[in-house]
Amino acid sequence: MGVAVGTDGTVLAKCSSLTDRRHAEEMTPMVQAVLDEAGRTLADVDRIVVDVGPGRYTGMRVGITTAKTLAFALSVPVVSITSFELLALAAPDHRGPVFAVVDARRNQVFAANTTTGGPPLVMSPDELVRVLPAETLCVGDGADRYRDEFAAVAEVAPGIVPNVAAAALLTPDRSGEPGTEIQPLYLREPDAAINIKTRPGGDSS
Amino acid sequence: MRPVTRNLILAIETSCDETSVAVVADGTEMLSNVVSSQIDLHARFGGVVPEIASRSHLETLEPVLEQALEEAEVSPTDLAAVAATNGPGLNGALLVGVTAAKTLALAWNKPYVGVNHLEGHLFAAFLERPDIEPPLITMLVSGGHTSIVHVRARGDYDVVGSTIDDAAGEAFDKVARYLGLGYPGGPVIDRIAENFEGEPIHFPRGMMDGTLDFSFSGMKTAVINYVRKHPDTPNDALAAGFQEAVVDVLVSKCMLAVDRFGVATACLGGGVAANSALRQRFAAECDARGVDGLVPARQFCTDNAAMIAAAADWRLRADGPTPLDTGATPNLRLGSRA
Ligand SMILES: [Zn+2]
Repeated sequence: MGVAVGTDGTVLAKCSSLTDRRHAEEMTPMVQAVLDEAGRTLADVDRIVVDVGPGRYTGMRVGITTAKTLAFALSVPVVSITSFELLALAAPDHRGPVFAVVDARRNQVFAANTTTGGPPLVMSPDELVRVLPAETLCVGDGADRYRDEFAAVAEVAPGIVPNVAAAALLTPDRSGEPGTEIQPLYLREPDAAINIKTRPGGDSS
Repeated sequence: MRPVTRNLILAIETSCDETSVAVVADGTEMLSNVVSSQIDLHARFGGVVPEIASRSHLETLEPVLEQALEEAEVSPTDLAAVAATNGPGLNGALLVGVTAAKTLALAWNKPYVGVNHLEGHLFAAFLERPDIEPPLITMLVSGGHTSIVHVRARGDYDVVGSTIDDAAGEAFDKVARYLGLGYPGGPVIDRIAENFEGEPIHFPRGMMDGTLDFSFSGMKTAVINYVRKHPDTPNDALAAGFQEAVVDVLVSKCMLAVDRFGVATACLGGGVAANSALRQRFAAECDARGVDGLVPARQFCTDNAAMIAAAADWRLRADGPTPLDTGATPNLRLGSRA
């Protein structure tokens, strides 16, 4: 997760952490810390850019809830950007197609050809290997996790994470929307059959 | 605009399958309490699906928040604090409310208060009856909880009895599902029993004599065994009989606690406290003992943010704001804050 503040093509401050668990705890203080470091306040914010996924559901929801709520409280628009786009922005220069590959767990990946665009793919790494164009570069935690599979047919640039600082700079050419219009990119239906009986400490009122 | 001298709390509740936002003044006066239920989304699964609940909270929270502020006719600057349920409940569902409340607190420059959902249910009583004072006994009955709480003072609780297996609401759901009556089980069985005019089937009570604990799993099994032996029994006689047995156990135990701790006030809380038979029987038994029996309006029994605001008002005065670097605790116990 990460937060950045930028203006007029300059990143004023940024912070990120590789947490896989403490998103809810860290997000609000991180917003405050980054603004403080940039010498700005929330009142200075004109628009919010948010990564709408795909990714881990919990992390996505903390980020998107924060963006929507800030937009509501500050009456500013929100720009959505996908994890695929943010991975492409973080990827090294490459002559062939760049695929952003996000680990979807349960032996699946979410993938997108960020060079040509097109609809995102949801499939097993083995299936993706078979459809990758020649001279492809793969980036993202899905590419990292299944590195051996992808390395057989493509290049893999390891350790690439969505570039939050770049997101802060992307705003000028994109029009924002009201926070209520922002839709998470889940790319998969909830797994009702598996989860139906898990209500740890739950309380159906 | 309303006067701003009062302590106004905006609270968010997203612990399970209701998205709710409320504004409450001085912990007792409800200015708005908007509740959006997801029951229809979960009905076809016969229970709450956590991932569906989380997705729905994220989508619904903003409109509900907007409506709650509008109905209360307050502006964010008038608020004393922003609160949210931070446990117990479904992790993903809780995180939406907690994150939104912390973000609002940051944006509006107000203190944040994390509230224990169960403490919220205890405070529902004060929304309608600011005059009542502990010590009192509150019986919390819902889909996730069944417990008898000795409230010695605000913030000083002793759980003196609880279920050793299913929660009461869960037992209603399971029996309704077994009989093919639909979901959620409590309201369905309540309606059937209310219209039933015959003789309800008598089921064993599973009283666990002498203790204040409950066991509903055996009563569910009793229904199943009865149907196996008497397959032609009409569903309404079974449903009415099961409800009678559950209500009998609940009220008997609650009155046992009232007697044992010698309190003059008893309260009901939780979603199952919306059950008509339970409300009637509880009120009657309290009357018979000369005990002040408080049955909150149904909107304050089922999950709602007004009760969270009421608890937050007191918590803020008692121990101050909750730090912004806290999250949610799915298995939070009564008496703990995070
Ligand atoms: Zn509840």
